[in-house]
Amino acid sequence: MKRQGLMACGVGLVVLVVLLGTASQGFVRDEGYYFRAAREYHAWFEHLFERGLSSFADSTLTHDFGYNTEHPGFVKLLMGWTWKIAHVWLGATSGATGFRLGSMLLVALGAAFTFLFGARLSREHGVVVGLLAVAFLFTSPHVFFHAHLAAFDGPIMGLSVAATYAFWRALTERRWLLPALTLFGLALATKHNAVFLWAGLGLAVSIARSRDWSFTEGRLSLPPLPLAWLLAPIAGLAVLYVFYPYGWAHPFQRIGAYYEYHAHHEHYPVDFFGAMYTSPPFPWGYAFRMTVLTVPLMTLVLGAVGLVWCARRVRHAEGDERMGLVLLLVSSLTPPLVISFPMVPIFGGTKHWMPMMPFFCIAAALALVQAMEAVRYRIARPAVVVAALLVPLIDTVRTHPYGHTYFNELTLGHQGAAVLGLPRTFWGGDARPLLAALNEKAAIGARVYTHRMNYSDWQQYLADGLARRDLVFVSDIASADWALVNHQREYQDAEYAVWELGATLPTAMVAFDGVPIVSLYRLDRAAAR
Amino acid sequence: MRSHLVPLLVALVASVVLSVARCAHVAAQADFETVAAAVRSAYREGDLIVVTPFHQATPRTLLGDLPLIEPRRVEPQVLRMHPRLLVVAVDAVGALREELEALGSVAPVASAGRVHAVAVTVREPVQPTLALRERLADVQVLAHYGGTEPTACSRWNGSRWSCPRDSEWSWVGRATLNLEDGPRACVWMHPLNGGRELTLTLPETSGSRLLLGHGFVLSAATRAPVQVEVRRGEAKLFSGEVMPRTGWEYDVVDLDRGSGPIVLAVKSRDNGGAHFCADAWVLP
Repeated sequence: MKRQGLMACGVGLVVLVVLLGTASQGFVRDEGYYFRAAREYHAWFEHLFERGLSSFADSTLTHDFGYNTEHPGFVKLLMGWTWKIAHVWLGATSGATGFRLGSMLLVALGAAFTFLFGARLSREHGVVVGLLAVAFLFTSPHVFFHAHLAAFDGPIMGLSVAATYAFWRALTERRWLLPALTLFGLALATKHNAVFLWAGLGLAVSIARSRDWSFTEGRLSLPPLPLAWLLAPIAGLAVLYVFYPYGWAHPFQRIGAYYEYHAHHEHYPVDFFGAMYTSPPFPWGYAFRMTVLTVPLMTLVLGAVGLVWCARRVRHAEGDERMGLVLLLVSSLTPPLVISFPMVPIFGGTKHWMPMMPFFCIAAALALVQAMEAVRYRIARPAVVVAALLVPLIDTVRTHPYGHTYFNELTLGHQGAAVLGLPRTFWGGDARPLLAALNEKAAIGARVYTHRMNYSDWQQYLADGLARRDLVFVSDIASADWALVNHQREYQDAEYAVWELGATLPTAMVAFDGVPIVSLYRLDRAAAR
Repeated sequence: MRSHLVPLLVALVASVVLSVARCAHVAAQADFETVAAAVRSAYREGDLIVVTPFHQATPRTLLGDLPLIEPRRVEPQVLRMHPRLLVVAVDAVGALREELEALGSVAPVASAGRVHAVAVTVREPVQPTLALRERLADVQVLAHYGGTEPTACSRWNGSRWSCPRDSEWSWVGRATLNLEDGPRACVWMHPLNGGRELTLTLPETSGSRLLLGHGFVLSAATRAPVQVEVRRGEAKLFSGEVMPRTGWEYDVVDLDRGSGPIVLAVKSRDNGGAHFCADAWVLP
């Protein structure tokens, strides 16, 4: 087990290095908000000693932590510290990558625990299953994309698998209780969907121990619930409280407001098979159907086969293995299931059910190992691994750094998705490569309309030297000299407004298989008038 | 045990075959450039460049300064208003090459790799005697607010007539909007509130039919329908209700009755979501 622990550290380290070395994505909309929040939150530490006890006054906490209170502070605080250490003190990264490092650390932690989960589930081929699971996970273009970002979706994916593994261990080993509670608390302090993690763990325990249920003399008798599960809400809320300084003085009011916000989250437009959904009911099974279209075909097939195999094996498995299999099944299915109900707000793309992916990839790894076992000649088995991972790897490399625009082989990629009326892009971060053209061609002081790139993102591009400092951000096309347009159907009017101003010839474009993702236009304002 | 290999092999074959098919639908930049240069040489005033399939954006980066559309569907009634179409077709998913070539006689212009250009000389082209969007500056726009006399929406800024009340959205002007079927160059004419009538009086022209296109903006087509009327003098030539759904539809109106200028009137009992856009052509 010690060897596996060391290997898990190695896996986490490799993933971290790969993520750091490939963090060339543009800054997505949410990142802009979190960059700012991380900087503002970190300022609290910078003034801590100077302010003394007044640092803990509600007015100070409200001032320093009062921005972006719709998400807990853990990841933003971590991002503030990694930015300070890696960028400000060491000068080893850009400012944005400094922020992103905090999020990447938690993704790397998740990679390590994905390895451990897979290794523990398959006693016979443990290490191989663990390694293959991690390989499948990071050769999923959507996961690889989101794993880089200074956001919460990579971290909640990482903490979900870490907390689930620790919970599994804590069921039989008391020494894992504290790690399990801590990791669950950190998940709760990362993103609100950790609530479903707790529900899923409870469901998994109930299913795994269903043989212990009894119904005698009209009374249903259930096995005792595990201590880790019972304590998780208390410990979780305590950790959430620690990492939600905005709520320190008024925890019930402010943390309550945070959950209330997500219970009534606004609906974002959902572009799905040619129809634009702006309010419920959304299509049934949306998350499952999008998963079928956005996970590489090989991973998808092997993952599905692996889940079926797990479901069949659960019937005969005992003890620890049975619990692990049920945890795998429930954790794979719960995140997409929650978002697949038509009345649940859908506010984004595939990233919101990404916590399923480590478990789904472990299932894929289990199926692949069985396929390898079926090969008569051992020497040929590595070829099976290469065959399984080659296309997902190529597609991940091919679509980087636009992995969130990827559609799998079943749709024939970007072209097929465009014809089917599926969302082409979502988070407004794709314009980064076009900044070079803008820097080269724009006149001094030119005004730039950035469409789905928000002002905080723009400021970070300036801070990191990716956009010229004399360029001026404007939010109105009519007053712009240059316009970036994301080809996102619900916001496509921006491009047509550019055309109406006489600019119909893009200066530069990011496209995949000929399908545009984001375009740069030069507007001749004098001519337009 | 061998059965464990089956899903892997099936997925592998499907993955490779479909990936090859995907790559087979991707055209090279050099091929686009070769064909675009030929299309530019062949282009003459009045031509319309039609790119298919609609999602292929490279032609716009090379020819976007010329009249160019990337339609999601073929609309013969509009395409026939151009004597010649220069069709740039890419061997990609969703191309409408055959439908476009069926509009007339075809002559090859250039071909390179997966990119092909043909000139389609349109069979029986129809030259409108008036196109609303193009002649908008000559249109009289009146808002019937309920007084004895209608109020003129008389403020013209080069592309739109603004009405005196609620001028932020109450205007009649050129717009290219996001309808269900992609970009649509049309004339925005959001109905007035309270079910009151907005009228557009077209410049006098000769013609036997009016082609009327209309639709709702993608994000707003949720509330009440819009009533559309076409009048000429005392004669009511057309009365229809455009239901609040996204997309673009056409009606053809015979101009065989009445005299004087053609009047297009729109109203809606609930104008809040009626983000309505239309266009009209008088045909000989």
